[in-house]
Amino acid sequence: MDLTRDTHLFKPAVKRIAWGSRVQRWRRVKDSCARMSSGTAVLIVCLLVGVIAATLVIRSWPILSAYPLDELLTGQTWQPLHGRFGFAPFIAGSIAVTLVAMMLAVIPAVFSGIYLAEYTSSRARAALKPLIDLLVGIPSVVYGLWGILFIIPLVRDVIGPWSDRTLGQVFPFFARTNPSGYGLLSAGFVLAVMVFPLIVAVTEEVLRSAPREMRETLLALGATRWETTQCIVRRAGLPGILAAIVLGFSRAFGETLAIMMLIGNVPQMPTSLFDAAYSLPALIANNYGEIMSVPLYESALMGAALALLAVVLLFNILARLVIVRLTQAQAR
Amino acid sequence: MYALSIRQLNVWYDKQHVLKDITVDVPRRQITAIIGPSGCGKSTLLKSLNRLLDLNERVRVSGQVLFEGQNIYDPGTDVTDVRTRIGLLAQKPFPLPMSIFDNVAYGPRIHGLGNGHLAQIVTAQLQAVGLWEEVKDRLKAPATGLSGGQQQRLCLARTLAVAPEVLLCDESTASLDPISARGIEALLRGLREKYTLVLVTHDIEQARRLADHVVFMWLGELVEHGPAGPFFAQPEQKLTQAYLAREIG
Repeated sequence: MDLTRDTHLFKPAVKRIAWGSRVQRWRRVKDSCARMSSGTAVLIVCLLVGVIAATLVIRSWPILSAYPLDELLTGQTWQPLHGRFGFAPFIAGSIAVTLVAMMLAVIPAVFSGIYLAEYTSSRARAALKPLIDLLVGIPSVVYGLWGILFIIPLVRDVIGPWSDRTLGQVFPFFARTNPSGYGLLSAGFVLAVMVFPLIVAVTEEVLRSAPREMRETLLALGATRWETTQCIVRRAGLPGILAAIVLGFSRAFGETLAIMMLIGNVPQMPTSLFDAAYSLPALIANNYGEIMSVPLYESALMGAALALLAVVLLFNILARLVIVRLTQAQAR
Repeated sequence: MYALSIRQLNVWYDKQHVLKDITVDVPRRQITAIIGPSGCGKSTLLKSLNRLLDLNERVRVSGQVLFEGQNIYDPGTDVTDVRTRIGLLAQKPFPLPMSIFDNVAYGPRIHGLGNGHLAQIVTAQLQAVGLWEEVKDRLKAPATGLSGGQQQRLCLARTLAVAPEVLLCDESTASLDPISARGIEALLRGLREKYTLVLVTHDIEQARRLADHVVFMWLGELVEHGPAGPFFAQPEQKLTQAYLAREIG
């Protein structure tokens, strides 16, 4: 078809409406309204972070000014009635249980993500993914109950005695110090199940967003599936997978209920996988609103919340820096 | 005589029949050009030759592609081996996100070809595509920093570094500026002595300049094929005549 001959195609169908008319003014009003309302929404969210941090700092100020910071952070005794507020056991407990969970979850989760992204057909993926997503939706109290009914007896009767007989003979870390089953391993195991689907989902997403040409190029060079996957993970996926792990870490570090039900709640520095411990969120949840007549008690719990926020924030910033460095290194 | 023999090849995307009963031979150490309008199935035909079509789950293939007498669609075929021996130069240059050196070295590394003299292989391939002088001082620099034409030459060096026997080119000059495109064309012409080349192009002039043998496709069917001289001088089919005269397509 010769378009140049059909000149009527190029005539504007409607007469142009002058800028400044009512219709156009109304369009401009809508435009600026949309800009302002969405901008305000972002501002509110940003302010919220500031308000939360400020509240925590103000409310924990009494204890922060009454004791030197290092005494609070490294102090190992928690006796509010005697005015002793050492956060070290709680910080150590939180870090330990999170690390146990990450040790158990990260490798299987990353491999599951790789499998879903690289090896399954889309039909199998459609069947498997909702199953994994379902794990995210289970309430933590259900995880906690399942832990009490299933994991605790398993750790108490099977894993604990076995570990004590074998690895525990050489490494004190694996010695069964606590016959109840409540402790780091049980809580860490359940926590691992909780963060697992999160890491799987993000890993899968990251790998599937790698350019199609990259996969084609590698396969066309005669690379096997596994070599292709390795190259994509190392050259394109690593920052994203790291972000997935950070997300899992933050989720695990803040988890309260399931840990509270399984960790044993003993404020001590854990030295073994089977030790009972106490986590920061559990400390706050167990005690807030109880014996508030004790001087500085409420302020100390606020301090615990502040420490929790600080650790998560610090970890996120560090991870962000690593991710930026990695992304730059890959571009090179 | 023939490097590849395609026998009654049919390809479906879901229900859509995109290649219909293709039977044609690809002569060894010559350039075979597959021409035809967009959507006629020429890229599909090209990608069926090293089983890159397998990546798409919706694709179904029947028929045979004989490579040195072996059907590459036999269930027992080592796909990795097929793809190593039948290399591909894609339409858009895609440098892997790594250094210039590593781009060329990747193939030899995974195939264990390089042991000890990887640097020699990389140098030789970069020289072969005329890129050596331009990049010899920045081999560790990211390949993404090269210009489009340089990237495509790098991709060619990368493909040749795994020592393929057949080279498939999927409109490999289409995304380049005219000067870079001519450069790639000259390289491809030079490669004919050592490799069997199959190239897809929608550019009739390019086929005229390069091809020893031409295959003309229309709506998933093979209309006409033969040595370039007679094909362009006296095409037999009406459809071919019309296409070459640019009345259709």
